[in-house]
Amino acid sequence: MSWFEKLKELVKININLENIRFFDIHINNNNTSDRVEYRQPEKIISLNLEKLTPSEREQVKQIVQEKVRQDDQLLIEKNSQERIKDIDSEENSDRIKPLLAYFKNKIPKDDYTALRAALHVRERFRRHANKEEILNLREEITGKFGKRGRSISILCSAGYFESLIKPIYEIMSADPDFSNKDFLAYYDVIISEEAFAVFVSEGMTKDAVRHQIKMKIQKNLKYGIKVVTIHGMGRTNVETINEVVRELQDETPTMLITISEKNNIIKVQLKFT
Amino acid sequence: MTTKLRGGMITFEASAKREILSFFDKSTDEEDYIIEDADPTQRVLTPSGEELTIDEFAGIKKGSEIFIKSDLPSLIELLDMIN
Repeated sequence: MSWFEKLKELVKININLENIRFFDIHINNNNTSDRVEYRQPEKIISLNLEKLTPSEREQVKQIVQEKVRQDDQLLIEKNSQERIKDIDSEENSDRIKPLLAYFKNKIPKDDYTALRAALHVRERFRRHANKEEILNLREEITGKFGKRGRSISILCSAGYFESLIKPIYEIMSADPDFSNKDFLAYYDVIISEEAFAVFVSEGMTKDAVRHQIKMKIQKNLKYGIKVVTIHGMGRTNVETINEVVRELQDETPTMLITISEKNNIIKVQLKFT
Repeated sequence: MTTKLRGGMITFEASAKREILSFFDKSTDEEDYIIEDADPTQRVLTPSGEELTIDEFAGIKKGSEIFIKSDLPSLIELLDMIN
């Protein structure tokens, strides 16, 4: 007897299962639901193990085994099913789809998965998810991808994949000698230095840049980190960074400065003795 | 939405996790890790080689029984698998 025949025998309710192309089987185990329920609008047949006889439970076992092992059916906890539906819907939205399409095959595979996870966290934040949920999601990313995952999550939340990393790729790839390796080398620096760095993105005023750099220097020094890196791209940002760095040098003459600049992409390292 | 998410799945409530595992001859050890009934020293593994507890258990996909964890990156990887 096929799983379908077994299900029909078990359900014994007045519906014509052959007429339903797609329906889910939902299994619960409580004393509040009915033994068997058919939720027509959602096309769900719900079976309550708590209220089934041992032989009926055995039938459910066979149905589930057969659908998973032979029909390659996914067996998934309801809450996780809702979460992957949400992720799928977000990733097909106009807000996220173009960004993911842009970075696919440009960054390492694990980083790409971490970016997808970080974008989901950003979406949950946008929809006012509570702080505990956001922290848990971030921990899940760090749990899987370590410090690198955390950096990607932070950079993504701050919008740097759109406002800094993508424009850097655009500028670098315009060079006739460009190879993705060149971009990855730079991208790697951004990810690995996230905790110690200031990222200057489009639209930041000189005062805002100065303030951010000073705050980062103060914070790093407080914890014994004697280096601050500044990243920026675009003619205006490069000029602003250079001006601010000159001013800082006047204030702290012992500070060592290393500047690398090419194609309007700048990286400045400030070292403190 | 992905076609495979539109219908035809088997879903279960968290309260049915132990029963679902028993359908596949699995149970849990004293630390709540999922194990093979036939060999209680054998903890099951996810495709990433991680052991998983019943709390982390999100489901099973056919393969040689692919166990799915409920953390965000694992659910994203599952989405790729079913697409």
